[in-house]
Amino acid sequence: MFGERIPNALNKDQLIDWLEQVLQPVEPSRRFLRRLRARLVTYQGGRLPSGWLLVVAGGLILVIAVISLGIALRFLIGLLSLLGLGRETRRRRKKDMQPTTT
Amino acid sequence: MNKPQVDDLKLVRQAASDLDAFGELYERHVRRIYNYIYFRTGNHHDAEDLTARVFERALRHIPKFEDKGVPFSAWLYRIAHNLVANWHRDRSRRPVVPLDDRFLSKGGRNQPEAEAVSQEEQRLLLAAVHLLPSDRQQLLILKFVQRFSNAEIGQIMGRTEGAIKSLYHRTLNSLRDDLARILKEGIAKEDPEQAEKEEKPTGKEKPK
Repeated sequence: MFGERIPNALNKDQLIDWLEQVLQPVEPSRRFLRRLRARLVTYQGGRLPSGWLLVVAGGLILVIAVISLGIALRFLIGLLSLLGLGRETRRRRKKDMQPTTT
Repeated sequence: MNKPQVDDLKLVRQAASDLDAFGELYERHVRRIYNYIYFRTGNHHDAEDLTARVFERALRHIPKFEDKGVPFSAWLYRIAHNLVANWHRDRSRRPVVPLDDRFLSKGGRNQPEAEAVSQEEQRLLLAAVHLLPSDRQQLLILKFVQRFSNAEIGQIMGRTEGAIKSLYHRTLNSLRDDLARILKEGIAKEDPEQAEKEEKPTGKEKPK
């Protein structure tokens, strides 16, 4: 099997030739190279966001919170006024049905 | 390695704020780093995983890169070397490295004479290479796969050119011994009679 490369006869030059033949560069898959490049060039996770980015993000969160609170309050007021309106209507009907004494 | 080093350093400075500059550095070095890791791990799956980690780490730390006269590629090789060392430690399987058949079968595409080397012989040699200590494996990969000079290897490994030269000769000697041992063990397993003949020469061989 290893007739030409009997250990005792293997000299340094033969070993170097053998290494040159076997240790040949390989080509990574193009898909892998493309995907990794895309991941690295669009990669943000590893870097700390800049100060301005933090200010903008904080401001945006604050605006969204205020808007949400406004909407929630409007909704609550609307609901309460509807309840009040219903109660008032029922009270009036009750009053109208009662006989009047003159 | 000297000419691109100048450009590399320029790109490294830009890469701290410009991802396209990092993309350019990636294109320049990814194949070599991949090859280094592939020959250290022995399979494409782990080579892809570790190559990705090398460049992610490089991207994270590139603003801290300092020019100390060592090329950027040496910095990348050092990251790769550390990750491969961790990989071996995690798996505790340093001597057993299954090599992808894809590589073994197409090894001779570029050089037709390489086709003559059988897959089994390639496996044998690579197995012997993987038995060597980590720094010696690194040296052989940088010399034969990457075709770097002793001076360039010295920069990457943080040693002098003379130290690399001496390490190279010691590596070849120890690789030769390992190969002899592996072959002897292999022959002894397959054919004990042949192994005995190899060990005790009859004296009938024709002189060269």
